[in-house]
Amino acid sequence: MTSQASSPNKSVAGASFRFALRGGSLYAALFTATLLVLLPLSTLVHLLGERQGGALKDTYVFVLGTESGLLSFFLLGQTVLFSLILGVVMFRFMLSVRASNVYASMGVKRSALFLSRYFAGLLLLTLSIAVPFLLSGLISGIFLGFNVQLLWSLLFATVSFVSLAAVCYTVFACVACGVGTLIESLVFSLLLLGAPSVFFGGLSLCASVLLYGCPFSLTTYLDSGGQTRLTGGLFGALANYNPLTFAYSGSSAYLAGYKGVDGLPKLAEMFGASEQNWVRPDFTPALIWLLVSAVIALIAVNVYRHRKMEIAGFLGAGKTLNRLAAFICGSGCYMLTFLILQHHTVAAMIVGSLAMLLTIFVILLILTHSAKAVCQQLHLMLLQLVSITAVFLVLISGGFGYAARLPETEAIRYAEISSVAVNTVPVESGNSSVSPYGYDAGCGFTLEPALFGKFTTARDIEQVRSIHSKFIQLGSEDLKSSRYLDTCVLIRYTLKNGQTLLRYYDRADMAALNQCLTITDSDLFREQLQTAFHSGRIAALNEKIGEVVAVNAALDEDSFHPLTLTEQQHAALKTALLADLSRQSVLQRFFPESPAVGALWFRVKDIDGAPNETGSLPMNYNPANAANEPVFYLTADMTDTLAFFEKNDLMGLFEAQPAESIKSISFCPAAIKSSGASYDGTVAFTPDVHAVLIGDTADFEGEETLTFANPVTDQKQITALLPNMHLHYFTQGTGYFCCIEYEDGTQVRKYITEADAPDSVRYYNYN
Amino acid sequence: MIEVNGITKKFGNLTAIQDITFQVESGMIYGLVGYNGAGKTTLLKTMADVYRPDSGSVLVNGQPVRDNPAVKQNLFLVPDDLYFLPYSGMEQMAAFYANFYPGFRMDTFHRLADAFGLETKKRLSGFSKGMQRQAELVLGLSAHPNVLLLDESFDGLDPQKRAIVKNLVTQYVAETDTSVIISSHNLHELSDLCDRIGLINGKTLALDYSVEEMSHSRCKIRAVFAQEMSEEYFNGIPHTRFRQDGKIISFSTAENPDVVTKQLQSLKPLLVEQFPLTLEEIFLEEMEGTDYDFSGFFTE
Repeated sequence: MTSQASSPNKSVAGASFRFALRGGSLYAALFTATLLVLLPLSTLVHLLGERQGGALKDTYVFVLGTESGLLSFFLLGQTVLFSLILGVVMFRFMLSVRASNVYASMGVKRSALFLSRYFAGLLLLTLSIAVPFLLSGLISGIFLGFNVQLLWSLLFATVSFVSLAAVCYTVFACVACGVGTLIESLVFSLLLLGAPSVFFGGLSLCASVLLYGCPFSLTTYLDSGGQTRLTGGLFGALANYNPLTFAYSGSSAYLAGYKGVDGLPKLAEMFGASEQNWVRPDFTPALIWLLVSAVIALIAVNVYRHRKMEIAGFLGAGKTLNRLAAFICGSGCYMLTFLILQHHTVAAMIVGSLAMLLTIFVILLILTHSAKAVCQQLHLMLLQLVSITAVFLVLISGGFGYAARLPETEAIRYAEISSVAVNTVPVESGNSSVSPYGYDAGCGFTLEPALFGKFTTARDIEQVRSIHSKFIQLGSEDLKSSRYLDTCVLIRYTLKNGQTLLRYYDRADMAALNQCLTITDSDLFREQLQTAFHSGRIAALNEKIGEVVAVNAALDEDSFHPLTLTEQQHAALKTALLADLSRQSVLQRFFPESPAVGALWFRVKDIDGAPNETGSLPMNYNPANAANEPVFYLTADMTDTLAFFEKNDLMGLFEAQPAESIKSISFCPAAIKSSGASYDGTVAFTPDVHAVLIGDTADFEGEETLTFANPVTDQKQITALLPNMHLHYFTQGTGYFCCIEYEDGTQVRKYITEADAPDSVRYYNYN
Repeated sequence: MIEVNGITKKFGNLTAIQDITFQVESGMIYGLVGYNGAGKTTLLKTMADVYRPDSGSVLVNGQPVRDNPAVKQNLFLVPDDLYFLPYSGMEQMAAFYANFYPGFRMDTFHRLADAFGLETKKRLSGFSKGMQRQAELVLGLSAHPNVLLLDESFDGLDPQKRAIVKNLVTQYVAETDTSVIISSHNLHELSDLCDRIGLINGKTLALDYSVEEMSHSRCKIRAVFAQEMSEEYFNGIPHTRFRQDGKIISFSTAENPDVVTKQLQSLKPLLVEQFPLTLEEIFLEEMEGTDYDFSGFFTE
């Protein structure tokens, strides 16, 4: 063999880099393979399948991956996993006593050794991510054409995930430089990467408990345009500040582009297109995290240069990281304990403190194997406890004014609020309502909290603020007492400076909830009433095709009287009704002093124009029906409407059956029912009570649970009771539902207030 | 030349070695001895820049070792705990070291591997402990370092291989003027191989002599008397490790043996003899090892 001397000028660092590249290539190949499946392969399969269905380009602008929300999640997991794996491959040498001896004694500067291996790993990660994305982009371009949305999205997604990989990899490298064992490197790295999630998520949940009005416990809600909005709490709001979420939250909307009905490209959602137009992505978070990685890398170089190689193989050698890890775990334990015991705040904090101290103690003991050494750090443990407790105290005291914040009217562009009950939603809000009374899309009847209305006038904004201030005042009360009810009230301000302020109240008393009803005394509500009556969207209100049924308060089979009106009379009735409804006060609408005279039921005529048969059709208050066939309760304050009927000699239609035809009246307390199954446990706030006929009680779901007792059969007593029984009343959880049974077996539900109920009703034991 | 100046190394609160100073000239083989845990490995690792000293410095030809590629590319440490790349054979390790040691020569590598009868393509994990040690030595010598640090490198070698290694090292030093430091417990081998011996005891360098100086630094005196003589009779005579066997006494002395013999005459010995001490005896003397009375350990 010929003599071959190595070149004395050979770059040792370059050799180290190449050696590290070879060492990590297998793992990089594995990573690439998984991404090839997730990205280009799945894209190809998807597009081939979609192409067979035709009109591919009518649906997509580009596709980098399918099921973008889910895909982002898998990409996140794979990227974190393989970044850590490559970190292990590149830097495990410093965690082994034997390997340390060799590497540390070799003729290469420590910084050069570290950086050569660091950059080798970074290059492998970058290629592993970029190549599959590039292939996916190529495939998309071939099928759907190359466009600016594809190119920007491709670049953005690649940069985002490369940035994520860089962060995870660099954190591992830095941690490895400061500890002695591989297990510490992995665990501490995961703790550091996960720490923002622990803190943001934990504080978010704790804030939602401690800070009255904090919306962090909500995940989504509907805005007044019917769009689903994410709250995400601190976790969502600070997604760009969290190394584990910035790539996921940013990129998931850009993994596919859809063609909207308006022809504009749309962003992606979890499982399909969103309504948001495609816009050029914001690279700032990804670039900032790349910069952060660079800073951490510089720190790592410095740590490695000063590393004591003798710590290799020894647990607990990195004191700073020990304390940091213990603090993160201890804080998480504190927050978790608090959340479990949240109903007893003081006890929760005490037990949480003990849990935190114990956690820190145990972790440090495991790492250092010396109780004495751990006890010597007691002052640090207490300092850590004080810091977390201070945060909790800030939250308890109102979060530096967060709970009490009420923006000035002048600063508000518009306000939105959720509904606590039927009749408080302005018509034609974004939530598909077409009923003049409104169709409740608020918390009480839907699973998803929803805002409605854009209250823009100063008066309306003041109305919302007035409601809001009522809730703010409750913040100092003990809301856990039985005096307060579960509820779901959302208030959102969009300020003139572009910021939004969202508040969510999940407990309130009746006074606050009643205050919410005052939103009907607003310019927007009146404006929407006008629109509902005149826009023509509600067919039943159209004088050409609609008819009106006058219903008297008895609500039996003989109570329904379809009116024969000319178009002019129909229009005149509408005008009168609109004027009365617009003029109604909150009390008149929800808490009328006297029972309704009757009701007016607007509906569409039969196809040939003839009136519909009434028979025993239910007049119920199922919002779905009310949306198309609005029902208005005629009360004494509606003078214009009553005048119309008087003028047209129709008042007799509202005369109810004599009391002799009533067989009995039974009662059921209208107590607040908490967490009724019908309302998914979100609201215990009793909705309006309206009469329903037997046979369709299922339409008024709340009534399924009503059990009537204490029947009154004496006719004198019945006659005395009837004038106080309301057809329409906002119960507030007091008073009694009444079941009126007629001789013919017909049953009708009404309501009597607590004050109007006789002693025999009030003092009966209904249990 | 290697200069070790005032090296102190601590591990936490434990001082492993303290204020150690010595020099190893080019072309010299220096033996480092000491009891288990004395600090030999610590010292060698500090010299190789694996450990950073708490105080002091290590210079090679006047240049500091610390984070100095130019120096370290010509310094090779053969540690006691051997490290090989996972799943590697000697060929892979040779390629690995060739990246970091510009002086590494593949022809030397193959010749040495042949000399030791080692299969270079076989996985090192399949080698015996002794073979692994031979492999590491081969790799170290193939790097052609100017400074070679061998930590317990004779351990696990059979007598034939020991002889080969000794010859190799001697030849290498003769041909390349390399400085070699060997740590070992085998004082017989060191006395044959080394030019100079350093003894670490009590965290410091207790002795630092050439082999010849060390041999002459002490001697053993044996004397026969007409009656039994206890140690008190010898109080005026500088001595250590006094032994009495009836009328025969023996002791060691660091003083001039002729002077001591003359002093003994006053006690009228029947016979006085002088013997040079072996390195082992010097080692044991210096360590002041306690003689344990093990009788009854296993029966009582």
